Amino acid sequence: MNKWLFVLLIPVLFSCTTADHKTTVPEGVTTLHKANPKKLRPYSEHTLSNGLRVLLIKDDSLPLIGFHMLVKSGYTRDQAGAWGTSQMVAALLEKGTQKRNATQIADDLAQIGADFSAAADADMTYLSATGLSLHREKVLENFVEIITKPSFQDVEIERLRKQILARQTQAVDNASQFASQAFQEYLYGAHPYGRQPMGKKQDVAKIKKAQIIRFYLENVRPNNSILAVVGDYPDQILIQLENALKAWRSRRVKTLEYGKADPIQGVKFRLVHKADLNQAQIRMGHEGISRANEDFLTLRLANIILGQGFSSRLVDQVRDNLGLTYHISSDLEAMLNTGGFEISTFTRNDKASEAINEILKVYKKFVSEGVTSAEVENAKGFLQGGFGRALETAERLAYNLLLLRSYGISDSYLTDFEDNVDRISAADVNRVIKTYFRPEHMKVLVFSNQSLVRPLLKQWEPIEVKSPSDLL
Amino acid sequence: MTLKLILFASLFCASHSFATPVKENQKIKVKIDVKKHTLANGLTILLHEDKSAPLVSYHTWFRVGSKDEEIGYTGIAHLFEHMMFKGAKRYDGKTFDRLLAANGASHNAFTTRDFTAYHATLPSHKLELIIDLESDRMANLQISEANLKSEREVVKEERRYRVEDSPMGLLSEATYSTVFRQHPYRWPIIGWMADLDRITVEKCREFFTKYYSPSNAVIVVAGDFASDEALRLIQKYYNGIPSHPFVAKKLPEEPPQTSMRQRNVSKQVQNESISIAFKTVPAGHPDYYDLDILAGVFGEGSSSRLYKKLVYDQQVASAVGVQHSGAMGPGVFQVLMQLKPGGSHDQALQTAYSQMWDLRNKLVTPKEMEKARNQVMRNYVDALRTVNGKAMALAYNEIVLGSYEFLFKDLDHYFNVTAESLRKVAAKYLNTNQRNLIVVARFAPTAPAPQEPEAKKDE
Repeated sequence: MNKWLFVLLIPVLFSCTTADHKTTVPEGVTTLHKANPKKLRPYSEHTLSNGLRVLLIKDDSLPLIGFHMLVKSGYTRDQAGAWGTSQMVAALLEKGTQKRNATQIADDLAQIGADFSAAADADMTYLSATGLSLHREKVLENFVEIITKPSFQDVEIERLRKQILARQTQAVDNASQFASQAFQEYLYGAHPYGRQPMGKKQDVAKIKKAQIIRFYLENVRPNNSILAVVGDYPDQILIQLENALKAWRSRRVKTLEYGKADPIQGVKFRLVHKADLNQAQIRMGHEGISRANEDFLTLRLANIILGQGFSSRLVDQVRDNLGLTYHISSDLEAMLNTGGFEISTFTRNDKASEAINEILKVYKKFVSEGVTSAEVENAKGFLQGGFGRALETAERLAYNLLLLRSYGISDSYLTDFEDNVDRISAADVNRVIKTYFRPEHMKVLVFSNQSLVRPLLKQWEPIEVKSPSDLL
Repeated sequence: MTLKLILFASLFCASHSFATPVKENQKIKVKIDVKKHTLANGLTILLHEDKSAPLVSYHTWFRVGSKDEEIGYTGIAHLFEHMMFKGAKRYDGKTFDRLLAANGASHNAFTTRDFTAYHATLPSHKLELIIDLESDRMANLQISEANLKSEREVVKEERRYRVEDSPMGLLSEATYSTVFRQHPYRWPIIGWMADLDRITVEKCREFFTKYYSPSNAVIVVAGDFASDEALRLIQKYYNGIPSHPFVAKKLPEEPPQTSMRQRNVSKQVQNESISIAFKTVPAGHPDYYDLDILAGVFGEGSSSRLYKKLVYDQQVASAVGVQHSGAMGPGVFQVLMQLKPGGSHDQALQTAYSQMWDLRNKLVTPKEMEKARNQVMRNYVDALRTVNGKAMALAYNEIVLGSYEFLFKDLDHYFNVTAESLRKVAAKYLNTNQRNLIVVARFAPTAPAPQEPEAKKDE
């Protein structure tokens, strides 16, 4: 669901970076701070006169420039009966502005070796333009026009509607992706995190232009967004941004609170049937934590031991010892209001039951017996050693800083990361394992051929059986 | 433990060109300093210092891929790649993985038709650890029946996942087995299921002895280290590994294709997927750069010709793309179209064929050529953003083209492409008699397969 959440959030020593001390700050722009922390690249943060927060991260090692904007609204803000609106808004931005149509925009971007991307996630929408710094003024010009002057023409709305409806149907043929999507809905139930990012077919078929425009006006606002300018930008960048964006106005954005999903009692089982599958896609999990939960880092360490990397307990048993799968992992999805915990794998149909039982054995032992100090030390090394990679490029640092701001978490998460990881003990890890992992109360979803797999799963009856079309 | 590398070449290709001379201020310049060494046992070493982050990326590539396999044992190069993670003399497989994980390394491997690559990126002060681990398995791999038995099942699951339950995987497999009839590129890198069952411990040991010699390998180190120290450590760990004499076998040549071929693959899919493929030339061939540019003009991004027609105007397809593979042997120029459910097969083909006719008969416009130049530069820079990307680019050029220095000549080759040379190359390779049409769709056993329509102006 939220791919940015899995960007490793870890710190690093950068020995050779350029402090951004030359940038001119124009009238009307407030500088919040300039940071040159010893463990991160230097960056500065400003507020434009229209309320937009801007992060500047200089990197002229390659001739690239990127404008990455996080809008703090996602598909959880879609109205009832209009799920998919946020995704349509994101996709329509580059499909026409008050000055140019979709083809002209595509041509103009490609002409300078640039691209624009947009995607709505549960809590946020991410808008980004990247190109060669040889054409930096044009990249900025395109980005600003696309995000501030979309035209939402009828013809483009209808074209996109057909495209989304087609993609929803086609999604069934990507077994892994479809299983994950179906599991999100199953796991969160009626909670807004259970919605499909692309919406339901019945909703997409009738979303109105007025709803699209309303979503845009209410959410894609400077006071609801954070922009990171990354790469080889000019010293006058703040003047350029202030001039280009001053007509884009702030507006009050509603605060939404969702709370938690309904608790899961016992083990629930859903089978989604597709006759031609050779493998059973297996997803199992339960509710997790929100990103701001103070146990986040400790729980990450616990999850590494269970299901991250090639030496996790799940990989060791299910893949390496038993040869039941090519891939198995456990993942924490920590979002704004709550989160999920999910184990995912696949195996051939006749091994589905064996795989599920083996996973449960590993998971139950993990919870009942806990982890050892040696495992915790290794997991700490995994996190700390991966820190450099997580922030290797200025763009990766930008992603992390944007995310932290959207969750209201201090940058000290990065600057103090290694120390904070060091402070976690095996007892801490075992405490969070007992607190948050619940193998007795899970939801299990299998996407496979019902007639081959269901007879093997008798122990889990009653099993709820669905067809893919029920979920679209 | 593998990500099959499919589109490596797209790092350097997938783009375009221009007809007029390029002004120097319109070109980007990227400098990568490389030091090359060869040990007495024939091991090639490329070192590139990059102090921008406290990381090091360590690549070990062997000049062996699925093209080197024997009939009946397809998939052994890839299965063997998995076996390389199962333990050696100093470190068993579990210790190997645990040490890398406990030091925050991101590591993996992939197998292609031409080569097999092992790579890790980790904190730079752990350079000696990765040298120790990699040299151990190059020298002393241990292969057991038990490990082969479980790993064979892992690979079979990988095949089910990537190919048998994947419409695009089926399309790719069928494309190569249609385009090639003699050349070993005709079989899948992951191998046929029945062949995987035939591979024995003895076959694996033979494979190791024959192909995993230091003289058949290239090590690339990119990142935050001192070259002298890195070379000293590599010498310390690798000097004692003996080299095995190795003579590459001559691969059968693929005879010229003289008539169209068609292949239908039946799968219970929601929509039809189509590949139109042509055999081309090896990477580095003078026509290679034109073919890359053609792929870009034809099908890269939403500004490309094919996207505008099929996805935007006609709304027949939900996704299109054109790619040109960069291999040591013949390349494949591939037009991929994912139709919308119910999208017209005939309309999609007629449009694609009509556009190919234009490429063969009309000059690409100056504006498209300028766009091509910028997209080439963008792709080039994108590939070099990380130390892993830089190491990969250097290793690819060293193995596939024979020298890492080709990386620095790439842009000039692309910039020398002209609208006229594009037209000539399109006419030479993208013509009707050399066309292969592969379709994945729901074909009823008794129903006639869809026929291949011809664009009106195509013949």
